Amino acid sequence: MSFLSPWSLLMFLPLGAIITLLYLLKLKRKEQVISSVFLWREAVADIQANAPFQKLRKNLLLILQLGALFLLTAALARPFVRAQGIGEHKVIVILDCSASMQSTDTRPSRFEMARRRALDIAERMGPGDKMLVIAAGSKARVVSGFSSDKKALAYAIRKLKPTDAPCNMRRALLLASSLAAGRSARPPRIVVLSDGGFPDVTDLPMCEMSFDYIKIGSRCDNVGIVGLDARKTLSGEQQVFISLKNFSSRERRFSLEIYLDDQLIDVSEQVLRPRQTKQQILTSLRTAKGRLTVKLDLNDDLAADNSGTLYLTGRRDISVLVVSKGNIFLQNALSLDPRTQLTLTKECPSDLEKRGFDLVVFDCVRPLATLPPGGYLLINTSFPGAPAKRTTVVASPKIIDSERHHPVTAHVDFSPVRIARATLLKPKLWAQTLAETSSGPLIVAGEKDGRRFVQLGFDLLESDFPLHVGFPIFMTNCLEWLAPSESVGDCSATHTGEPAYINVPPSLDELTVVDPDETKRKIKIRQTPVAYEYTDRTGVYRVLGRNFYREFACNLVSTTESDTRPRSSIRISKTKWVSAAHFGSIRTNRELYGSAVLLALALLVFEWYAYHRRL
Amino acid sequence: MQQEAQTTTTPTEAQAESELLTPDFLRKLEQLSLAVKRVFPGRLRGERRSTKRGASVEFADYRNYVTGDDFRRIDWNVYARLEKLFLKLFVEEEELHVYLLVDVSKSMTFGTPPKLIYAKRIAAALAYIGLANLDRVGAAALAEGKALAFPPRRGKRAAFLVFDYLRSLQDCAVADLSNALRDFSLQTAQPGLAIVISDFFDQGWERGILALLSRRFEVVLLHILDENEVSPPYVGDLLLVDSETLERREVTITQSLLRAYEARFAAFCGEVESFCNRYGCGYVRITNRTPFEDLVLSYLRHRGMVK
Repeated sequence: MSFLSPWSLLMFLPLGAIITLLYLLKLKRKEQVISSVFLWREAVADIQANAPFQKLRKNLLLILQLGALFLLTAALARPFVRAQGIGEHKVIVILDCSASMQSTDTRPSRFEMARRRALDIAERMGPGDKMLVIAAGSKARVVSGFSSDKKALAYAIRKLKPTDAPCNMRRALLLASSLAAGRSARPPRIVVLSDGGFPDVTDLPMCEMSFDYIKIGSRCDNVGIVGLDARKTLSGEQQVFISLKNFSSRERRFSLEIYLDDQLIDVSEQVLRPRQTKQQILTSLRTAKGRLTVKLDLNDDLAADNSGTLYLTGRRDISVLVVSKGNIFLQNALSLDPRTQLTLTKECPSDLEKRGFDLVVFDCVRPLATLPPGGYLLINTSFPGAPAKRTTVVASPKIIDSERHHPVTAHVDFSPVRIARATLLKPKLWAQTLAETSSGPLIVAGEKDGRRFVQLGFDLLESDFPLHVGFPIFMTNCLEWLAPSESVGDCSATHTGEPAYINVPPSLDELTVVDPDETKRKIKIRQTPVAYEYTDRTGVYRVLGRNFYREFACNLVSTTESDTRPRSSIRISKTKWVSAAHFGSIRTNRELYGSAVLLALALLVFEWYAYHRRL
Repeated sequence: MQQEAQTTTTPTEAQAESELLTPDFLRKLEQLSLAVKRVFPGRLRGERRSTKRGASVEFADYRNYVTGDDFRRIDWNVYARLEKLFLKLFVEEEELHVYLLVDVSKSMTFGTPPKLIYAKRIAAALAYIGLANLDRVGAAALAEGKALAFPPRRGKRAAFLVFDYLRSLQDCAVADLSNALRDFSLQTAQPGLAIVISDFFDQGWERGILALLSRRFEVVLLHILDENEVSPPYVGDLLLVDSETLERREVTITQSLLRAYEARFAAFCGEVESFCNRYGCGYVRITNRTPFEDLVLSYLRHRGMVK
């Protein structure tokens, strides 16, 4: 133990001398005449005979007061010990929770090792130190605010779990920087516990921060799926694309297994040289429908990238009823899509609900008063439940504006369209104008009570719109929006950490999503498609609703995460931070004046007690 | 100053001292008599059994007739049967000598009421009881050179003389209980009942009692104490001054010291009592807080001192 201000100890001598001098002065006792002192004499003798350390006891108060004085002067001298510590008043620990941290090259895993390091830092905190913990997965999350409570910090750190998502370190560093900024003149230290499995953060605005990067992990022995996708050709046939990469420094042999709805449909032997990437396109699944799972049968450090799942939708027919006096352009445009099954009629049937059409087109024919839930295209007609009222008839209106971001009017060019006569529309509150003339809206879309509408204010035959390129695009868009696909992503799957969009029927107001680890989450539907953000696990997510069941999958197809080589340095802004072997290997001065003052206070309390109890 | 404060008497105490006993109380005392275990020879006839043979109605013994004996005492019935002359003897009833010995040391002036006044009133009451029963009552202050200042007298008329004497007693700065008792025992010709009223805060008092016993006195110790001596109310750093010896003692009175004092005090009382038991003395411990009438009429009767 040393002292920062040892000369203060000299104050003990004069002050101690004063206290001793006060004790040496004769205590003025109150005189009390009593009948006889002989019994008192004998009682005092008895006590002195029975009490050990009698001489010491006589001066107990003096000893206690001198002890308290010494401790107080020692506190003024600022004693300290050299101890292992974090050496800073505040530290922010960023714990990488990404998929690569599940690598088992360091036992039991990189994440466990990082967790131990974080606990170690928390344990070594001094009395004035504070620590904040940020979990860095696909999102950055503060799991414990600045706290000096070691137990609370340890509890928060122990509760953390690794995810299957890529690491968004930039967001975590931004969060740390914003939390550190302006807190004190001495900025907190930011400690990054990671394997470096994230892109360099080159655009961090606050680059004057000081970082400690602690590398977790020792080697890279991993083969992973770095690409998995499916697409449809124009003829509606499906192709599945698989990309594999060997990130290790040795040749790996393994089996590539392909399952369709848990049935093994293909196995192939794969040989990948070090650092080799291999791509495959499966063309045999032309019209297959169901859950396609790709698995690598091998034992490597990271298991999260050894499987992937896709949903193949196959070919889906769309039943369309066209209620029209006859419109060849409309029939041809709808027939372009091979999925479409057209039914033509001149009058609206009364049993619409029973027949269950995906889309009903009313071409200049007034619909029934009430329509069942579904998609409706109203051409130059209206009814009370329509999204817009027909107002005034205008001649030769010119469409001057259209909603390019709406799925119905996306990629449709209305500028060359000529219209002889049209009826302007007045959209209701729940409807949205998609195309507008200088006089008023002409195309309106809206959704209410499970019914989706697109309403046109002009007859197609009184315009040259069917002759333009935009017409088949417009009709295809109408088909997609008014009769939406049944599965999520339509052939593709979501990446972990990214939101999944779930198309649900308009009649649903609540969903339950069951994660791959069987965690259930209830979701209120406010708009469709529903964005589901808790996609940190790879695997199959089940979506349950009233008379509704869907599945979607999340895959880790990330070269950055699958490349589990631990980086010995990371680049943040323009500075390269090299990994330190251990955090807190510095020895710091731990001041003890607080303990000395507390001890002095305890001595004074005991002295007060001893004085009043006449011990 | 404090010493003076302790010895100054309050108006009530002064009245009690001037009267000692009220007429009503004196009438109650006439019903009582002093109890003695032993039989003492007296000088004049009285109401106490004597070691002598005399002319009471209580038969004691026979003895052979010798020339010169009174014919009236010959038991003629025995002569008729045995044809021998026997004299019938009767127990003589004589007076008893009662000595009231009051400690007048400085320590007796402490307490509320002062122990000395309390002791005087007890002595007056016992003297009146004795005088009312035709006992010969003497009194003495136990101080050096003052042994038997009031010689034994008999008859109720002497009561007021005893009261005057007791009233006139003053505390004495130098009082050696042991020597005073020894002097008393040597100067007193006729043994009898010696009632010693004291707080016995004097080392060596046992020798004085033994001197009395050696002169065949029947001794009763009235141990009078003050409540403040039983449970001292003092606390803190004090300079205790002995009222008699003026010995000064610095003490810091703590709970443990108070406990030690109380233990020592209990041991001291136990020593006095065990001494009395060992030598056949009567022992009565009283405090000055006991109501005086209750003490005489009830407490002393229960303890067998009066009957």
